[in-house]
Amino acid sequence: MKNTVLIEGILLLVISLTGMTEGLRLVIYKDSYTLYDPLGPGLYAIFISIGLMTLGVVHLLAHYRKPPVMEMVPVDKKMKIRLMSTIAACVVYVFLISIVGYLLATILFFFLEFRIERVKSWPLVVVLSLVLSGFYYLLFVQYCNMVFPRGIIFR
Amino acid sequence: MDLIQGIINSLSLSNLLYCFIGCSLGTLVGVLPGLGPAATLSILLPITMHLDPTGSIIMLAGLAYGAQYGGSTTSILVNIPGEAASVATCWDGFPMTKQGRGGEALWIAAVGSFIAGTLGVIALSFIGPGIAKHALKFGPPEYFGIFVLSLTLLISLSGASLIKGLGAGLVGILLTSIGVDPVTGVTRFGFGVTGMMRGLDLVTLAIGIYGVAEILVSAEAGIAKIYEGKLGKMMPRWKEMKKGLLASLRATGLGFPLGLLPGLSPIISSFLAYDLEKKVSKYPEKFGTGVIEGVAGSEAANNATAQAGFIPLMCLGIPTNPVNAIILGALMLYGLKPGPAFVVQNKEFFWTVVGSMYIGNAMLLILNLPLVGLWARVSVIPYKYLAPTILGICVVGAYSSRNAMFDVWVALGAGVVGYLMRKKNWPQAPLLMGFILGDMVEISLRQSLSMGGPLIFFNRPITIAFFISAVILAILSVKFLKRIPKQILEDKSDL
Repeated sequence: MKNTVLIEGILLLVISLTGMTEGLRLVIYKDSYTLYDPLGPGLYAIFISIGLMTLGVVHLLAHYRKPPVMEMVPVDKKMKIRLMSTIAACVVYVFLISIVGYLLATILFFFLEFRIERVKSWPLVVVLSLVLSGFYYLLFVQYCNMVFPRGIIFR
Repeated sequence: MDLIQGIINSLSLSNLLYCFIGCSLGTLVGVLPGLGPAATLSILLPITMHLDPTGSIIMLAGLAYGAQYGGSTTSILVNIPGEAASVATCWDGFPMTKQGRGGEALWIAAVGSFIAGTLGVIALSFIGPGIAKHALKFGPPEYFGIFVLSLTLLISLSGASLIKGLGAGLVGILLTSIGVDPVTGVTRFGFGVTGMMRGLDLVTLAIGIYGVAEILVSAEAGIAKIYEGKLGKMMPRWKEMKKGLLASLRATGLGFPLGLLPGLSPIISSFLAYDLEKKVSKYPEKFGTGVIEGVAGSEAANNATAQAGFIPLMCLGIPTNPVNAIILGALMLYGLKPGPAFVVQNKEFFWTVVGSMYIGNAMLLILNLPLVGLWARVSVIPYKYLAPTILGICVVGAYSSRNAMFDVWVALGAGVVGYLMRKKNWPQAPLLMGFILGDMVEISLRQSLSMGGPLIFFNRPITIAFFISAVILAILSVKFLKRIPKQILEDKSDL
């Protein structure tokens, strides 16, 4: 728990420092328009960052020594694998859209996802993947005229 | 006259269809545990971009108030709240099901919701336009006052930890500043990446934080259990019905004014109404064992609050809960700017949407009474079929708003962040709320300062009134939050 609080606090501080640095950059390099804008793009970001930094410090001080008691629900190892596989499938899917195009990538994604979600029957997985992908393609690409990347292969 | 014209407009075939789809989807997501109205609205938002604005908002609003009806079904039948505001309904609803009175509980929940919803729309019809008359008195300092008042919502959305809620809210505000500065045109937080220079998109972020995160949490948690109970007879006896209807009226009276204030979301009003019913009851010790007033009170209150939320949303541009924040986002995407002048400038649109709410509430009564058996069966659709389908829509949704693969990556990243937030009890709603309001806060603040420096806020009575209201509301929100069991606040951080 202590580690979680530490990571959360550090993350808030990192975000606020990033905001502060960017704010300072914009305060120094003010352009002429900001003459009529006392806060400007920089100071606004700095104020928000100061607020965030204060909260980060308060979070660390209030919870590091005595972390809040959180009821941890034990997670089955298989479920963790399922979660990681779902994230991996999404990453692969988004990559594949740019390489093989929307339709093919979607068929592959559904195929993977239904297997990850433990739909056991192979024919059902194949049918569901093809039907759903076809439906999405018709609805979004054909009917709604959305333009997806055609993919490197089919260019 | 405007209202009658609005009702006539909303009776057109296309508007009726949008209203029906919205109400049905709302009931569906209310019934399905794990898929909340905010997540569904986020997922549907890009799809509605292809529809006409009136139809889309009718559909999204139907979904928002429909979810309050549907949420009671699983609370009563399987003790799983379909959405956060139905937690209090479980306490007496499920014991009623165990006693074979599930049908009666569902009847009073639907009728109570109908009473609250309809009274809410009637009030919206008469109070809303009155606020619009003051439109010309609003300049940037007044708008800044409104946004400060809206930001008090961050407190009640914080759940168990105020620090976490405010932290998430500030991160949301900081995320808005990515991209081109709205006043000077300078690029902030671009880091040389084209996508970053364009800024982050609301739809993308909402899809990630709610939609994708919801699926990831469900993937880890497993599938919802199956309903096997018996409904029993639907209509309660007159004595029980009278108790339930009176409780509904009391809860409407309590929930409606709370819905006008930012920060007092349906879940808070449902708890307060439950508390009230317990206090006025002659048998408070029986609450929790299947008392009809417990179900009627909490359900009517959450509906009244949800419906009342449309008044500040449409007439002041203040979203009072995450669902309304997303509807505000949708209105802005259509180029409509809710605020004091909104009703005057968009008369036909406003009254058509209000008209559709009368029809929507009647539709929901029909959907929830005779079709309750169907919804009970829908709640057993295994997640293994729903999850891939929803993920597919999330990807399309994230891409569609700007046709950029960068946005899909952002949605995916936001999904992982949303999942981690849920796991570590960080509320997601304040982050999105901060993101929606951040831009407007910045513009109104900087415009006000350029008009007359910091002192300008103290020369404007309306702004001062908003500031004072914000302080009072902040105190009230903290006070009310203490009355909700901590366990529920941690479990349901998405108030």
